[in-house]
Amino acid sequence: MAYRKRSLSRRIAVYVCVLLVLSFILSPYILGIVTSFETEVELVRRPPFPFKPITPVLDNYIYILSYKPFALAFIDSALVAITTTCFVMIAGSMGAFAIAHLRFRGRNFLFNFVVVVYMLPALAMLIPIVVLLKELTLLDTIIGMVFAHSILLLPLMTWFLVGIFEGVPPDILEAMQLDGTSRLKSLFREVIPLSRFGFFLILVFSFVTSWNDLMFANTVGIVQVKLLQPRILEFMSGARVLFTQMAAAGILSSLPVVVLAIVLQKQIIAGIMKGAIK
Amino acid sequence: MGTVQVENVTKKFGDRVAVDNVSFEVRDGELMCLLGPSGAGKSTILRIIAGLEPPDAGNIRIDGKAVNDLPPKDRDLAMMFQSYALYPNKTVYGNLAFPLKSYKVPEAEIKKRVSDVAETLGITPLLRRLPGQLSGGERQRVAMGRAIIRNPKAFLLDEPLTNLDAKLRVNMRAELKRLQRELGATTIFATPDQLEALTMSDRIAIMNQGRIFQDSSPETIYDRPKDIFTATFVGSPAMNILDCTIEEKKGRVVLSTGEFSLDVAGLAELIRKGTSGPEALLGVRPEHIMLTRDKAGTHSIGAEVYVTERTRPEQIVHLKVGKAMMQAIAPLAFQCEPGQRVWMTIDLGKIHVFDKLTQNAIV
Repeated sequence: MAYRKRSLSRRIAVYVCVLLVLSFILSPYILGIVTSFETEVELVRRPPFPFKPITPVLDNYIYILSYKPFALAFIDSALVAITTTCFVMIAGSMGAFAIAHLRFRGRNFLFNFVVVVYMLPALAMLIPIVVLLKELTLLDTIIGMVFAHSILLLPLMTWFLVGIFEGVPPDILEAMQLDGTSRLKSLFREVIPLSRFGFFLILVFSFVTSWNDLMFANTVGIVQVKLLQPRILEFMSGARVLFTQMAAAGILSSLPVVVLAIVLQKQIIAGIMKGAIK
Repeated sequence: MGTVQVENVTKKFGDRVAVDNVSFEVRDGELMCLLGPSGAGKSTILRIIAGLEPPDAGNIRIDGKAVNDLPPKDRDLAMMFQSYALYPNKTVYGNLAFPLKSYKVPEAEIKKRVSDVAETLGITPLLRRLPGQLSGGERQRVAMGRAIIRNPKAFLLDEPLTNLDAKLRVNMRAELKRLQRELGATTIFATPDQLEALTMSDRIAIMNQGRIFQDSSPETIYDRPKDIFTATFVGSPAMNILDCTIEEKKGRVVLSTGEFSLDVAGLAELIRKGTSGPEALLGVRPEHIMLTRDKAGTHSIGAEVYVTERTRPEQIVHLKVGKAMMQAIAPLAFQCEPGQRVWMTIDLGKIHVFDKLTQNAIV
């Protein structure tokens, strides 16, 4: 009995700790949600922290949802993030497969090169990328944006994928080779399914990074292509900040990421756990 | 089925020579065994034959046709890996069907062949399971099935029984042998286990450090080893090896170990011709030593029992002969205790003599 009591109190303690950490991590987001349901007058009259009772209004959401540039930016961002993720995952998988499982001259050099490129700060690549895109007349286009994000993400994701693919026993690939499977097929038929947990983790990571990017979105896109994050920033000007509408826009922009995380939750956690054990 | 020829194949990994000018030929339907310790180059040879590894020099011929430039899938060989390398997210059926699917065999035909092979190997009830849900022996069967389903020109088996537990290994040894006979399958089989090699193969190639030391039938390998490595690697318990000098006494040839001398009159000519000097090594298999409690004759040599291993149905008796240690096999009924004095009689018709310098067999 005593044992059971202690285990109960311990469980309560654990839950309290988890709740504390969680509320710390989530507080900005919760604050954002609260703000997005307030009127501006109410917000200015009394800041939302510490907590206060509010009467939620949907005005901000109605405004944002009827605000056309926001919808367009949402679509453009989705287009860029999905295309970037697809490209990064396909190209990254192929590159990582080669580095992890094929033996060729310069393999180590290539791998080190990938790592070094990843270590360059994104800022250092910003200007060359903008100049390059301008020369290619891809500046301020969706393709240019995908290109920029891919440059940013590809080395890192390739590096991650190498580690994940190395977990696939080479015997299996050789058996497939003898069974008459091309390398490309064995990559998509066995290597990726076998490392699906890590693969999904990286996929989500790519998507989220591209979706949340502000720096490249703000420099590569100027007029024609305005992605979501710069669009949200527009609610803020020197003169005035539209806090409540900005909060609603921010919450809306976070929805795809939240949905993705919930849908792929199992895979992501398995991926993280796998990495932990390794 | 077909023939496989390996001609002067050499393979280096960096500075290390993994395979050193190796040649052999496997005839149609033959089971050839590459036997050697780990690191001898057995797997590398199999991988070169399969096309997974390009040789630095030499040719591989299948049915007489050079296949050096052919990719693995066009060589029409099946390889079974030590790890079995089953496809983890395909069912047993999927694993068996996979090689056929790659070669675009029609679906109906695939179904028929899978069920035939499953029947042969007794894995029909497992067809819908995943490899992760199978025992070691079952996995081994599935791997075997995946190899035979394509009806290839030859099988390459890389230590197929190593990962099984001892009892299963003995069962599968027999079963693999029966299957190979039934299919008439040309097979090359790599193993570090001399017992597997002796019991299963038609021919054994003894390998060490990338070279083939001897390529003969199991009987010849066991009875007439060409060099000291083969002699000591094959046979359990291992052959007794003693340093000795060849002495001529009044026209007779005597092998003197320092502890005892053997008058080898019948082998005198061979020894005189074959030797490069007086230094030699005497080899005696443990089963060619007869132990008695009393002196059995003029040839009997006194020894002290060091320890006995009652392996059943026999026992291995470790003997101290002066400073040298020897092993002999005796019936269980032969009673002896450590420290006890016994007499051994060596079967002179079955001794081996090796040149100390070249390590090659003289007799």
